[in-house]
This record gives sequence, structure tokens and C-alpha cells, in this order.
Amino acid sequence: MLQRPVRHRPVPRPLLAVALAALLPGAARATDPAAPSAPAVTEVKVERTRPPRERLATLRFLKENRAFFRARLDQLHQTPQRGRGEATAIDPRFLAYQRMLAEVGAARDSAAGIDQERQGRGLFASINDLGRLESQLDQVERMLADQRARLGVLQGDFNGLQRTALAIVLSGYPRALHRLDHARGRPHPCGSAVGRTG
Amino acid sequence: MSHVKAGIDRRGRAAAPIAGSALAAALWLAALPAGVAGARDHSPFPAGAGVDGSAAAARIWAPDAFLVYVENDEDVDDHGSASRWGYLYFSPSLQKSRVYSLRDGAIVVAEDLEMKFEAPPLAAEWVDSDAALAAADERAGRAFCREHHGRLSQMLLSRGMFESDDPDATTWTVIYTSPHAASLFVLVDAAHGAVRRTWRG
Repeated sequence: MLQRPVRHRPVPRPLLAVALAALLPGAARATDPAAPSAPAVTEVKVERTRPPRERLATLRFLKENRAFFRARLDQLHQTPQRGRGEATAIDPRFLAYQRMLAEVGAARDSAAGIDQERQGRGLFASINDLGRLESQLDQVERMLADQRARLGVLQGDFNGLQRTALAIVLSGYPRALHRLDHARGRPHPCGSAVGRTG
Repeated sequence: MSHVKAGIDRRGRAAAPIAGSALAAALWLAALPAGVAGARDHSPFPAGAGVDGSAAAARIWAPDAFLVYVENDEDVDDHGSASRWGYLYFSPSLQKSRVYSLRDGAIVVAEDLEMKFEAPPLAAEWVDSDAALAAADERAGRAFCREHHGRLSQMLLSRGMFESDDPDATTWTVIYTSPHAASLFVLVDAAHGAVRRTWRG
């Protein structure tokens, strides 16, 4: 079915102005001050309430009696323990270990020399060489016996004692000697670093 | 949660029956009283069992921190165990004290102490709370509870706080309270587990 074309008739200009003024709220308020105002728009921010966390009290007695504890603390004095840091006699065994280590080093050098000499000799030239070899074997046997003795000493000292120890040897002048030197007006041989500590 | 997710169609609308179930479940959970939710059983343990855990945290807080005070944060049972203990550490470098409260092997409270508490360090070796409570009960605690309807209230491990004659000693202080009588204090030597003295106050 054919439709008739819609014909637009021109709207008179005064009538159009009145219609626009009625559509615009500001314009309406301007024209009619007594008209009710539109409700104000308030922006809101939506947040989720955090679930309450379990609040656990701790050290209640201490906190409830803090005055008592504070008063007791004021009466306490902490002093370093006497004897801490003072030198004590070194176990003579630790000093003997140093000597044993030196003996082990010497025996190792001797065995190395014997072995080097034996390798350099391809054939025994005479009965004298055999005699010298026998004496060297005796020397090696003595070194082995000494080593067994040292191991016996170590085993006797540490068998059943699973402990690691660090021995530190400090050397220096006693403080009394330092004061004595200053009293006599002589400079200390150790220099200014020691003098400041007196 | 997976059920709630399964009830949402492609357009983002929740299917009514499943949404209703989820809502009901949510309301049921929300309606649970806090006491029921918090009534989960926690394993009681003696005070010594929490030292390592608290010390590890304290060392992270301050490498020079040392233990100065222990107190039960929950009730102590007949065997000297509690479900939560508080461990107080002091750091000389920070000049601060920090408390760690442990429960079920985990730190549930870690906070700085408001007051300054530069207490001396506890001894490295001390008898645990079970032995200390046994000694206190045997000496006077059990009789006090029987006669005065009392109960064990607190167990405190400290050094120099309660023993004037020997402030260097680390001691357990076991406190019994009663609604009808003055509290009973039993001081137990933490080194040997022997009762040093008792008093009422």
C-alpha cells in the first residue's frame, strides 16, 4: 500500500520558542520562580564492609600490671658477668698438637726423599746399596710407628668427645705494666694504640 | 563458590533455584554466631614448644632480640599446656619490645609493646610449664583450689620480676585466683623446677 508523503508544515517562530522554553528546566525556572526545583543528585561511593577480624588479646597480665612491672624493672641492674673475656690457661694438649704436626711434616719430607732416591736408582750396584736400602726401610718403619703413636694420642684425647673447638692465643702487655710505664714517664714500646686503652 | 559460579548464565543472570540455594547458604553462614566459628579446637602445648617459632620471627625483627617474658594467652589446662602463649622479646638496638602470640604453631598476633620493657633475658635453660605447674600444684595450688574454689589463672616466666632475694634467677610465677579469697602466688625456680616461695595477695 502506498503511503502518502507527509507534508511538513512550517511552525510559526513564536510558538516554537515557547515550546523550547517549556522543555528546558532552566528556562522554565527562569520563567517561573515558584516552580518546584528538581532533587539534587548526590554521588555515592559503594564499599563493602570488611569482615571483622579476630582480635586476640595477648600478655593481658603484663599489660594490666604494667606499673608493677615497670617499678620492678627500675630496680634491676644488669652487670656483665665477671670472668667473661678473661684469658685462661691453654690445655697443654693443644700446644702438643702443634709439635706433633711439625713431626708429621718432617716425617713426610723424609719419606718423600727416600722414595725419590729409590725411583732414581735403577739397579742396585753393590751390597752396600742393599744395606742402605735396609736402613731406609727401618727409617720408614720408625716413622710409621711414630705416626701410630700420634694417632693413639689423638684418639685418647678425642675418642667419644664430639666437639669442635677453636683456640685463640692472644699476646700483649698487661694493663698494669702499661700504667706503670706511664707513671714513670716512659713511652710505651707498643705505641699509641695501646696507650689509648690505658 | 563453584556452585554459585555454575548458576550464572551467559548473560550474567543467576538462575533462580541455584541462586536461592547459594543465598540461603550465605545467609546460614552469616547467621552463625562468632562463637561457633571461633570454637575450632586448638591444640594446647607447653610454653617451651613455641619458643623456636617466636624466636625465628624475633630474629627477623631484630637480630639482637632476646626472650624476656612468657605468659599464657589462653587458659592453662591441668597439664601446664595452653592453646596460645605470648612471647615477649626485647631488642637493645631498637630499644623496643615485641610480642608474638602463637597458636597451633603459627603466629596469630605480632605487635610492639607500648610500654618500654628493657627486661633482662631469660635463662637459656628453663623447665617447661608442665613441670612448673606440677610443682606449684603439689606445693599449694591444688589445696588452694580445693579450699577456695579457685582456679589456675596465669603462668608467667620472667627474670627479676618477682624474686627480690635472687633477681638473677629465672622463675615461673603461677597465679591461682578465687572469687572468695586472695590470690595465691607460687614462685617456681625455672632452673630446677622447685618451689621457692608462696604468698597471697
